[in-house]
Amino acid sequence: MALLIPDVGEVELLARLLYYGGATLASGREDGTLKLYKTNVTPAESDTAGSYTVADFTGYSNKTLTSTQSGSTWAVPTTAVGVTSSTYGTTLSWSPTSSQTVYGYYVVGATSTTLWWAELFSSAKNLADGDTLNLTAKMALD
Amino acid sequence: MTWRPRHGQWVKFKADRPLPLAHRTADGYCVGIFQRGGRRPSAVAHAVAAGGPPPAPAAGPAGDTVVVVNEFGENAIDMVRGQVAADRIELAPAGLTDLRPVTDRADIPAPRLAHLPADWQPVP
Repeated sequence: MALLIPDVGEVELLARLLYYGGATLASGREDGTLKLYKTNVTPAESDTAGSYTVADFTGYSNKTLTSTQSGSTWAVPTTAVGVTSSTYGTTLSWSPTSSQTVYGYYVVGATSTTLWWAELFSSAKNLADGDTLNLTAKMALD
Repeated sequence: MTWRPRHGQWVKFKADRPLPLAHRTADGYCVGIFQRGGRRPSAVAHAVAAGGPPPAPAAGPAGDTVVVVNEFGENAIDMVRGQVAADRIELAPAGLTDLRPVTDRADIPAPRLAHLPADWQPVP
């Protein structure tokens, strides 16, 4: 039989994944770096960070997902209908001054550069000068 | 037990309709990436157009889908009379003929695997 992670386990494990839960770490904590990608690819199991081409529109910058729990970083995970999730408290925002289509985002370790996860947007975002792209990062276990 | 693809798994199938931009394997299958339906987006993104209201977010697929891949390993796009109709082609797996997992590296478009070791093989 497959193992089962109950809701309480999901909360604890997600907290450890995103900000180490209640553990006090003197070192070893690693932030995430969120990047938009400009190639039209669906994330697959075989992917690494090299599977994605980072956006490079004028005004683009990578965003840091700080590995702490606070109002402006990761929220304490909560469970609803069997799905445990945590939302990043700061909306990530880009204001391009050139045109580019972005298809999704991926997150890598800020120092390891290992790919952590990726997501294709529900539809491509055709960005142009003067537009704003807002993204609220959220991680869920179910 | 009935095989059910994993989210993000490479799969292949026999196309019942023309998919001119789809990658074809040596044995004539089309290749795609399975997407589990009902998954909640991890992130919510919306673009605010200059001088206008934010566009309504597009609805995600209601059920499981297979996203068709082109020869470059990117999403095959849907063209209607020379115009881009959709930025990807999503097919319901239940309607696909001979849907099966990709088990041979050679079935996956090479550009999509360029970052992996030469002996890497997909997990069935």
